[in-house]
Amino acid sequence: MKTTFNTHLFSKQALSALFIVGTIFTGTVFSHGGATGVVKERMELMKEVGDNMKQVGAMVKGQAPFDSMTIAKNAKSISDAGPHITKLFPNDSLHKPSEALPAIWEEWDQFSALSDKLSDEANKLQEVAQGGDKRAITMQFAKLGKVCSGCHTDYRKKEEK
Amino acid sequence: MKPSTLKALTILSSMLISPITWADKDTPEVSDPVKSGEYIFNMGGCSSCHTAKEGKALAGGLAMETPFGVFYTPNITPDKETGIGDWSDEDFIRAMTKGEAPDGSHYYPTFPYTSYSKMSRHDLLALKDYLNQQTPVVSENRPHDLSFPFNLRSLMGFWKMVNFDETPFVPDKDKSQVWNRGAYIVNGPGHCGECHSPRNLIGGVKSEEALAGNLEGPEGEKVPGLTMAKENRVSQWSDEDLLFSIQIGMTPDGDFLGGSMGHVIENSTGKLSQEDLKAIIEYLRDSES
Repeated sequence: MKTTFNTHLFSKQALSALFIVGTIFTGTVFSHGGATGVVKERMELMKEVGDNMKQVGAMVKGQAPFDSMTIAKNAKSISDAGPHITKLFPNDSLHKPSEALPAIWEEWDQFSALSDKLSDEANKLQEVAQGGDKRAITMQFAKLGKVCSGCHTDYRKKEEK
Repeated sequence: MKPSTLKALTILSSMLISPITWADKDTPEVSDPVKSGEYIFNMGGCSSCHTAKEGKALAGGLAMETPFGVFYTPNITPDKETGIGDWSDEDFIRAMTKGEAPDGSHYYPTFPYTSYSKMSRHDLLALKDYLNQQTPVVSENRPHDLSFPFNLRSLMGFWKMVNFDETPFVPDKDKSQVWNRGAYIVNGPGHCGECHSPRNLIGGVKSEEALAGNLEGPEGEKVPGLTMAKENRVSQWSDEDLLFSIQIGMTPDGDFLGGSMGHVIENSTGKLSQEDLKAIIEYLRDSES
Protein backbone atom coordinates (compact mmCIF):
# COMPACT_ATOMS: atom_id res chain seq x y z
CA MET A 1 0.00 0.00 0.00
CA LYS A 2 1.19 3.41 -0.90
CA THR A 3 0.46 6.53 1.06
CA THR A 4 0.42 9.71 -0.86
CA PHE A 5 1.34 12.77 1.07
CA ASN A 6 -0.94 15.55 0.00
CA THR A 7 1.01 18.76 0.19
CA HIS A 8 -2.01 20.79 -0.82
CA LEU A 9 -3.41 20.29 2.63
CA PHE A 10 -0.62 22.50 3.98
CA SER A 11 -0.35 26.10 3.07
CA LYS A 12 3.17 27.50 2.73
CA GLN A 13 2.68 29.46 5.93
CA ALA A 14 1.63 26.40 7.83
CA LEU A 15 4.67 24.53 6.57
CA SER A 16 7.03 27.29 7.61
CA ALA A 17 5.32 27.54 10.99
CA LEU A 18 5.81 23.79 11.39
CA PHE A 19 9.44 24.20 10.41
CA ILE A 20 9.99 26.93 13.01
CA VAL A 21 8.26 24.95 15.74
CA GLY A 22 10.30 21.93 14.71
CA THR A 23 13.49 23.92 14.96
CA ILE A 24 12.67 25.21 18.40
CA PHE A 25 11.57 21.77 19.51
CA THR A 26 14.70 20.01 18.30
CA GLY A 27 16.74 22.87 19.75
CA THR A 28 15.39 22.04 23.19
CA VAL A 29 15.53 18.31 22.88
CA PHE A 30 19.02 18.26 21.44
CA SER A 31 20.70 20.22 24.17
CA HIS A 32 23.14 17.70 25.71
CA GLY A 33 23.26 15.94 22.37
CA GLY A 34 19.60 14.92 22.36
CA ALA A 35 19.58 13.46 25.84
CA THR A 36 16.19 12.57 27.28
CA GLY A 37 14.83 11.39 30.61
CA VAL A 38 17.21 10.51 33.35
CA VAL A 39 20.27 10.83 31.12
CA LYS A 40 19.32 14.41 30.37
CA GLU A 41 18.66 15.12 34.04
CA ARG A 42 22.04 13.85 35.15
CA MET A 43 23.85 15.63 32.35
CA GLU A 44 22.23 18.83 33.52
CA LEU A 45 23.21 18.13 37.10
CA MET A 46 26.80 17.47 36.06
CA LYS A 47 26.78 20.65 34.01
CA GLU A 48 25.65 22.60 37.08
CA VAL A 49 28.41 21.09 39.18
CA GLY A 50 30.82 21.93 36.36
CA ASP A 51 29.60 25.53 36.36
CA ASN A 52 30.16 25.71 40.13
CA MET A 53 33.67 24.35 39.73
CA LYS A 54 34.31 26.73 36.86
CA GLN A 55 33.42 29.76 38.98
CA VAL A 56 35.60 28.65 41.85
CA GLY A 57 38.38 27.61 39.46
CA ALA A 58 38.45 31.04 37.83
CA MET A 59 39.02 32.61 41.25
CA VAL A 60 41.67 30.13 42.28
CA LYS A 61 43.45 30.69 38.95
CA GLY A 62 43.29 34.44 39.43
CA GLN A 63 41.07 34.94 36.38
CA ALA A 64 38.23 36.36 38.47
CA PRO A 65 38.28 38.51 41.62
CA PHE A 66 38.67 36.28 44.66
CA ASP A 67 35.53 36.17 46.75
CA SER A 68 35.41 33.50 49.41
CA MET A 69 31.65 33.89 49.96
CA THR A 70 30.97 33.06 46.30
CA ILE A 71 33.23 30.05 46.69
CA ALA A 72 31.30 28.92 49.77
CA LYS A 73 28.02 29.30 47.87
CA ASN A 74 29.26 27.22 44.95
CA ALA A 75 30.66 24.60 47.31
CA LYS A 76 27.25 24.33 48.97
CA SER A 77 25.54 23.74 45.59
CA ILE A 78 27.99 20.93 44.83
CA SER A 79 27.52 19.41 48.25
CA ASP A 80 23.74 19.49 47.72
CA ALA A 81 24.09 17.85 44.31
CA GLY A 82 25.97 14.85 45.73
CA PRO A 83 22.98 12.87 47.07
CA HIS A 84 21.13 13.24 43.75
CA ILE A 85 23.84 11.59 41.70
CA THR A 86 23.16 7.96 42.58
CA LYS A 87 19.42 8.45 42.02
CA LEU A 88 20.14 9.66 38.51
CA PHE A 89 21.99 6.49 37.57
CA PRO A 90 19.29 3.80 37.63
CA ASN A 91 20.42 0.34 36.48
CA ASP A 92 21.79 0.22 32.97
CA SER A 93 20.64 3.71 32.02
CA LEU A 94 23.09 3.85 29.18
CA HIS A 95 21.09 5.21 26.29
CA LYS A 96 22.70 7.74 24.02
CA PRO A 97 24.20 10.25 24.41
CA SER A 98 25.11 9.02 27.87
CA GLU A 99 28.85 8.92 28.53
CA ALA A 100 28.44 6.63 31.53
CA LEU A 101 30.34 3.34 31.59
CA PRO A 102 28.74 0.02 32.60
CA ALA A 103 31.41 -0.24 35.33
CA ILE A 104 29.16 2.08 37.40
CA TRP A 105 26.73 -0.74 38.06
CA GLU A 106 29.42 -3.41 38.37
CA GLU A 107 31.11 -1.33 41.07
CA TRP A 108 28.12 0.40 42.52
CA ASP A 109 29.58 0.64 46.04
CA GLN A 110 32.67 2.47 44.83
CA PHE A 111 30.59 4.67 42.58
CA SER A 112 28.20 5.64 45.32
CA ALA A 113 31.08 6.17 47.77
CA LEU A 114 32.50 8.67 45.31
CA SER A 115 29.25 10.60 45.24
CA ASP A 116 29.33 10.75 49.07
CA LYS A 117 32.92 11.88 48.89
CA LEU A 118 31.93 14.64 46.49
CA SER A 119 29.56 16.05 49.10
CA ASP A 120 32.11 15.61 51.91
CA GLU A 121 34.89 17.43 50.09
CA ALA A 122 32.49 20.14 48.91
CA ASN A 123 31.30 20.59 52.51
CA LYS A 124 34.88 21.00 53.60
CA LEU A 125 35.45 23.54 50.86
CA GLN A 126 32.45 25.49 52.10
CA GLU A 127 33.87 25.50 55.62
CA VAL A 128 37.35 26.45 54.50
CA ALA A 129 35.95 29.17 52.25
CA GLN A 130 34.16 30.72 55.19
CA GLY A 131 37.56 30.98 56.87
CA GLY A 132 38.81 32.98 53.88
CA ASP A 133 42.34 31.48 53.78
CA LYS A 134 43.18 31.47 50.07
CA ARG A 135 45.85 28.84 50.29
CA ALA A 136 43.65 26.45 52.28
CA ILE A 137 40.81 27.08 49.82
CA THR A 138 43.08 26.25 46.90
CA MET A 139 44.21 23.00 48.50
CA GLN A 140 40.67 21.95 49.31
CA PHE A 141 39.50 22.89 45.82
CA ALA A 142 42.14 20.55 44.38
CA LYS A 143 40.96 17.76 46.69
CA LEU A 144 37.41 18.24 45.50
CA GLY A 145 38.59 18.21 41.90
CA LYS A 146 40.31 14.91 42.54
CA VAL A 147 36.93 13.35 43.29
CA CYS A 148 35.59 14.67 39.99
CA SER A 149 38.48 13.34 37.93
CA GLY A 150 38.61 10.07 39.87
CA CYS A 151 35.01 9.35 38.97
CA HIS A 152 35.48 10.50 35.37
CA THR A 153 38.50 8.23 35.07
CA ASP A 154 36.72 5.05 36.05
CA TYR A 155 33.14 5.68 35.10
CA ARG A 156 32.93 8.04 32.16
CA LYS A 157 33.99 7.79 28.55
CA LYS A 158 34.03 11.31 27.24
CA GLU A 159 32.62 11.75 23.76
CA GLU A 160 34.51 14.62 22.17
CA LYS A 161 32.23 16.80 20.12
CA MET B 1 65.39 45.30 53.03
CA LYS B 2 67.81 42.48 53.66
CA PRO B 3 68.26 40.05 50.74
CA SER B 4 67.03 37.15 52.88
CA THR B 5 63.85 39.00 53.79
CA LEU B 6 63.33 39.84 50.16
CA LYS B 7 63.80 36.23 49.22
CA ALA B 8 61.33 35.09 51.86
CA LEU B 9 58.83 37.63 50.64
CA THR B 10 59.28 36.52 47.04
CA ILE B 11 58.70 32.92 48.01
CA LEU B 12 55.71 33.83 50.09
CA SER B 13 54.13 35.93 47.40
CA SER B 14 54.75 33.33 44.72
CA MET B 15 53.01 30.84 47.00
CA LEU B 16 50.02 33.11 47.14
CA ILE B 17 49.98 33.92 43.45
CA SER B 18 50.71 30.51 41.96
CA PRO B 19 47.50 28.58 41.37
CA ILE B 20 48.45 25.56 43.40
CA THR B 21 51.54 25.07 45.46
CA TRP B 22 51.55 21.83 47.32
CA ALA B 23 52.49 22.02 50.93
CA ASP B 24 53.51 18.41 51.17
CA LYS B 25 55.45 18.23 47.95
CA ASP B 26 59.07 19.25 47.73
CA THR B 27 61.00 19.54 44.54
CA PRO B 28 62.92 16.32 43.94
CA GLU B 29 66.26 15.79 45.62
CA VAL B 30 68.51 15.24 42.66
CA SER B 31 71.39 14.18 44.87
CA ASP B 32 69.45 11.16 46.10
CA PRO B 33 69.13 8.78 43.13
CA VAL B 34 66.21 6.88 44.58
CA LYS B 35 64.25 10.00 45.34
CA SER B 36 64.99 11.47 41.98
CA GLY B 37 64.23 8.05 40.53
CA GLU B 38 60.79 8.28 42.10
CA TYR B 39 60.27 11.59 40.37
CA ILE B 40 61.30 10.12 37.02
CA PHE B 41 59.06 7.14 37.69
CA ASN B 42 56.19 9.61 38.08
CA MET B 43 57.17 11.45 34.91
CA GLY B 44 56.87 8.20 33.04
CA GLY B 45 53.57 7.37 34.71
CA CYS B 46 54.84 3.77 34.90
CA SER B 47 52.19 2.61 37.35
CA SER B 48 49.34 3.56 35.00
CA CYS B 49 50.17 0.53 32.87
CA HIS B 50 52.30 -1.72 35.06
CA THR B 51 49.83 -1.89 37.94
CA ALA B 52 46.58 -3.65 37.13
CA LYS B 53 43.35 -2.64 38.80
CA GLU B 54 43.28 -4.48 42.12
CA GLY B 55 46.67 -5.99 41.25
CA LYS B 56 49.90 -5.66 43.23
CA ALA B 57 51.94 -2.55 42.55
CA LEU B 58 54.05 -2.83 39.39
CA ALA B 59 53.41 -6.57 39.01
CA GLY B 60 51.83 -6.00 35.58
CA GLY B 61 48.94 -7.96 34.15
CA LEU B 62 46.94 -5.01 32.91
CA ALA B 63 45.15 -5.87 29.66
CA MET B 64 45.58 -3.34 26.86
CA GLU B 65 43.18 -3.85 24.01
CA THR B 66 44.46 -2.68 20.66
CA PRO B 67 43.52 -3.26 17.01
CA PHE B 68 46.30 -5.88 16.93
CA GLY B 69 45.13 -7.91 19.89
CA VAL B 70 45.37 -7.82 23.66
CA PHE B 71 48.67 -6.99 25.32
CA TYR B 72 49.34 -7.82 28.96
CA THR B 73 51.78 -5.54 30.74
CA PRO B 74 54.78 -7.24 32.39
CA ASN B 75 55.98 -7.39 35.97
CA ILE B 76 58.58 -4.67 36.61
CA THR B 77 59.08 -5.34 40.31
CA PRO B 78 62.60 -6.41 41.36
CA ASP B 79 61.64 -10.07 41.71
CA LYS B 80 64.59 -11.94 40.24
CA GLU B 81 62.60 -14.72 38.57
CA THR B 82 59.45 -13.10 37.26
CA GLY B 83 60.31 -9.39 37.43
CA ILE B 84 63.34 -7.39 36.39
CA GLY B 85 65.42 -7.78 39.56
CA ASP B 86 68.11 -9.70 37.74
CA TRP B 87 68.69 -7.11 35.08
CA SER B 88 71.99 -5.27 34.76
CA ASP B 89 72.06 -1.53 34.20
CA GLU B 90 72.83 -2.20 30.54
CA ASP B 91 69.86 -4.58 30.24
CA PHE B 92 67.62 -1.85 31.54
CA ILE B 93 69.07 0.84 29.26
CA ARG B 94 68.76 -1.49 26.29
CA ALA B 95 65.11 -2.23 27.06
CA MET B 96 64.25 1.42 27.50
CA THR B 97 66.17 2.84 24.57
CA LYS B 98 66.26 0.02 22.02
CA GLY B 99 63.07 -1.84 22.84
CA GLU B 100 65.00 -5.08 23.31
CA ALA B 101 64.72 -7.65 26.09
CA PRO B 102 67.90 -8.99 27.76
CA ASP B 103 67.65 -12.08 25.50
CA GLY B 104 67.67 -9.83 22.43
CA SER B 105 64.03 -10.29 21.46
CA HIS B 106 62.00 -7.26 20.45
CA TYR B 107 59.42 -5.57 22.58
CA TYR B 108 56.16 -4.50 21.06
CA PRO B 109 55.73 -0.73 20.86
CA THR B 110 52.79 -0.77 23.29
CA PHE B 111 55.75 -0.37 25.62
CA PRO B 112 56.70 3.19 24.64
CA TYR B 113 60.46 2.68 24.32
CA THR B 114 59.98 4.81 21.21
CA SER B 115 59.72 7.77 23.63
CA TYR B 116 61.89 6.46 26.46
CA SER B 117 64.80 6.23 24.01
CA LYS B 118 64.97 10.04 24.39
CA MET B 119 65.65 9.77 28.12
CA SER B 120 69.07 10.56 29.55
CA ARG B 121 71.26 7.81 30.91
CA HIS B 122 71.27 9.59 34.26
CA ASP B 123 67.48 9.54 34.48
CA LEU B 124 67.23 5.93 33.34
CA LEU B 125 69.69 4.72 35.95
CA ALA B 126 67.96 6.73 38.67
CA LEU B 127 64.70 5.11 37.60
CA LYS B 128 66.25 1.66 37.76
CA ASP B 129 67.55 2.40 41.27
CA TYR B 130 64.06 3.37 42.31
CA LEU B 131 62.47 0.27 40.80
CA ASN B 132 65.03 -1.85 42.63
CA GLN B 133 63.79 -0.40 45.94
CA GLN B 134 60.20 -1.53 45.33
CA THR B 135 58.61 -4.63 46.82
CA PRO B 136 59.33 -7.70 44.68
CA VAL B 137 56.23 -9.59 43.59
CA VAL B 138 56.28 -13.11 42.20
CA SER B 139 53.99 -12.99 39.21
CA GLU B 140 54.64 -14.62 35.84
CA ASN B 141 54.06 -12.44 32.81
CA ARG B 142 50.99 -13.36 30.87
CA PRO B 143 51.65 -13.90 27.13
CA HIS B 144 50.04 -11.39 24.78
CA ASP B 145 47.03 -12.50 22.79
CA LEU B 146 47.65 -11.13 19.30
CA SER B 147 46.28 -11.81 15.88
CA PHE B 148 48.39 -12.98 12.95
CA PRO B 149 50.82 -11.62 11.80
CA PHE B 150 51.34 -9.41 14.84
CA ASN B 151 51.92 -12.45 17.02
CA LEU B 152 55.27 -12.86 15.23
CA ARG B 153 57.58 -10.96 17.50
CA SER B 154 60.45 -11.10 15.02
CA LEU B 155 58.45 -8.83 12.72
CA MET B 156 59.05 -6.05 15.20
CA GLY B 157 62.57 -5.75 13.78
CA PHE B 158 61.00 -4.63 10.53
CA TRP B 159 58.55 -2.44 12.42
CA LYS B 160 61.43 -0.64 14.08
CA MET B 161 63.15 0.00 10.77
CA VAL B 162 60.06 1.81 9.56
CA ASN B 163 58.82 3.48 12.72
CA PHE B 164 61.53 3.80 15.31
CA ASP B 165 63.81 6.82 15.44
CA GLU B 166 66.35 5.94 18.07
CA THR B 167 68.26 9.23 18.08
CA PRO B 168 68.56 10.53 21.64
CA PHE B 169 67.11 13.84 22.73
CA VAL B 170 69.14 16.77 21.45
CA PRO B 171 68.39 20.18 22.96
CA ASP B 172 67.58 22.96 20.52
CA LYS B 173 70.18 25.67 21.06
CA ASP B 174 67.89 28.38 19.70
CA LYS B 175 65.31 27.70 22.39
CA SER B 176 65.26 28.50 26.07
CA GLN B 177 66.32 26.02 28.72
CA VAL B 178 62.73 25.86 29.91
CA TRP B 179 61.45 25.03 26.43
CA ASN B 180 64.05 22.29 26.10
CA ARG B 181 63.09 20.87 29.47
CA GLY B 182 59.49 20.74 28.28
CA ALA B 183 60.52 19.11 25.00
CA TYR B 184 62.45 16.47 26.92
CA ILE B 185 59.55 15.64 29.24
CA VAL B 186 56.89 15.61 26.51
CA ASN B 187 58.87 13.52 24.01
CA GLY B 188 60.85 11.43 26.47
CA PRO B 189 59.66 10.21 29.87
CA GLY B 190 56.20 11.80 29.60
CA HIS B 191 55.62 9.99 26.27
CA CYS B 192 52.66 12.30 25.51
CA GLY B 193 52.87 11.69 21.78
CA GLU B 194 52.13 7.99 22.17
CA CYS B 195 48.45 8.73 22.72
CA HIS B 196 48.16 12.28 21.39
CA SER B 197 49.52 11.52 17.90
CA PRO B 198 47.84 9.62 15.07
CA ARG B 199 49.31 6.27 14.07
CA ASN B 200 49.81 4.57 10.71
CA LEU B 201 48.32 1.24 9.68
CA ILE B 202 50.94 -0.81 11.47
CA GLY B 203 50.73 1.25 14.61
CA GLY B 204 53.70 3.59 14.19
CA VAL B 205 53.32 7.20 15.30
CA LYS B 206 53.07 9.51 12.31
CA SER B 207 55.99 11.70 13.24
CA GLU B 208 55.01 14.52 10.89
CA GLU B 209 51.71 14.79 12.77
CA ALA B 210 53.15 14.51 16.27
CA LEU B 211 50.77 15.67 19.03
CA ALA B 212 48.08 16.44 16.44
CA GLY B 213 45.56 14.27 18.28
CA ASN B 214 44.36 10.74 17.64
CA LEU B 215 40.82 9.87 16.62
CA GLU B 216 41.45 6.23 17.41
CA GLY B 217 43.22 6.38 20.73
CA PRO B 218 43.50 3.68 23.40
CA GLU B 219 40.19 2.07 24.41
CA GLY B 220 38.47 3.78 21.49
CA GLU B 221 38.96 7.22 22.99
CA LYS B 222 39.33 10.26 20.80
CA VAL B 223 42.51 11.83 22.08
CA PRO B 224 42.64 15.60 21.60
CA GLY B 225 45.49 17.35 19.80
CA LEU B 226 48.04 19.28 21.85
CA THR B 227 49.46 21.55 19.19
CA MET B 228 48.38 25.16 19.01
CA ALA B 229 46.49 24.56 15.75
CA LYS B 230 43.18 26.44 15.87
CA GLU B 231 41.05 23.29 15.82
CA ASN B 232 42.63 22.04 19.06
CA ARG B 233 40.77 23.40 22.04
CA VAL B 234 43.95 23.74 24.09
CA SER B 235 45.05 26.48 21.69
CA GLN B 236 42.30 28.65 23.18
CA TRP B 237 43.40 28.04 26.77
CA SER B 238 45.53 30.37 28.86
CA ASP B 239 48.71 29.16 30.55
CA GLU B 240 46.80 28.90 33.85
CA ASP B 241 44.10 26.83 32.12
CA LEU B 242 46.73 24.49 30.71
CA LEU B 243 48.50 24.22 34.04
CA PHE B 244 45.27 23.40 35.82
CA SER B 245 44.29 20.81 33.26
CA ILE B 246 47.46 18.77 33.75
CA GLN B 247 47.91 19.47 37.46
CA ILE B 248 44.43 18.70 38.77
CA GLY B 249 42.54 17.81 35.59
CA MET B 250 40.18 20.76 35.40
CA THR B 251 39.35 22.23 32.00
CA PRO B 252 38.29 25.90 31.65
CA ASP B 253 34.60 24.93 31.39
CA GLY B 254 34.70 23.40 34.87
CA ASP B 255 34.80 19.83 33.64
CA PHE B 256 37.38 17.37 34.93
CA LEU B 257 39.37 15.15 32.62
CA GLY B 258 38.98 11.45 33.08
CA GLY B 259 39.54 8.32 31.02
CA SER B 260 43.17 7.54 30.26
CA MET B 261 44.16 11.14 30.98
CA GLY B 262 42.71 10.72 34.46
CA HIS B 263 45.37 8.08 35.10
CA VAL B 264 48.05 10.35 33.65
CA ILE B 265 47.06 13.18 35.99
CA GLU B 266 46.79 10.86 38.97
CA ASN B 267 50.06 9.01 38.41
CA SER B 268 52.16 11.45 36.48
CA THR B 269 51.52 15.11 35.70
CA GLY B 270 49.72 15.76 38.99
CA LYS B 271 52.93 14.76 40.77
CA LEU B 272 55.37 16.92 38.82
CA SER B 273 56.81 20.19 40.02
CA GLN B 274 55.24 23.45 39.02
CA GLU B 275 58.40 24.36 37.06
CA ASP B 276 58.25 21.19 35.01
CA LEU B 277 54.56 21.65 34.25
CA LYS B 278 55.29 25.19 33.12
CA ALA B 279 58.12 23.86 30.95
CA ILE B 280 55.71 21.41 29.33
CA ILE B 281 53.34 24.28 28.61
CA GLU B 282 56.10 26.48 27.20
CA TYR B 283 57.07 23.66 24.87
CA LEU B 284 53.49 22.95 23.78
CA ARG B 285 52.97 26.62 22.97
CA ASP B 286 55.71 26.31 20.39
CA SER B 287 56.12 22.62 19.64
CA GLU B 288 55.80 22.75 15.88
CA SER B 289 58.80 24.93 15.16
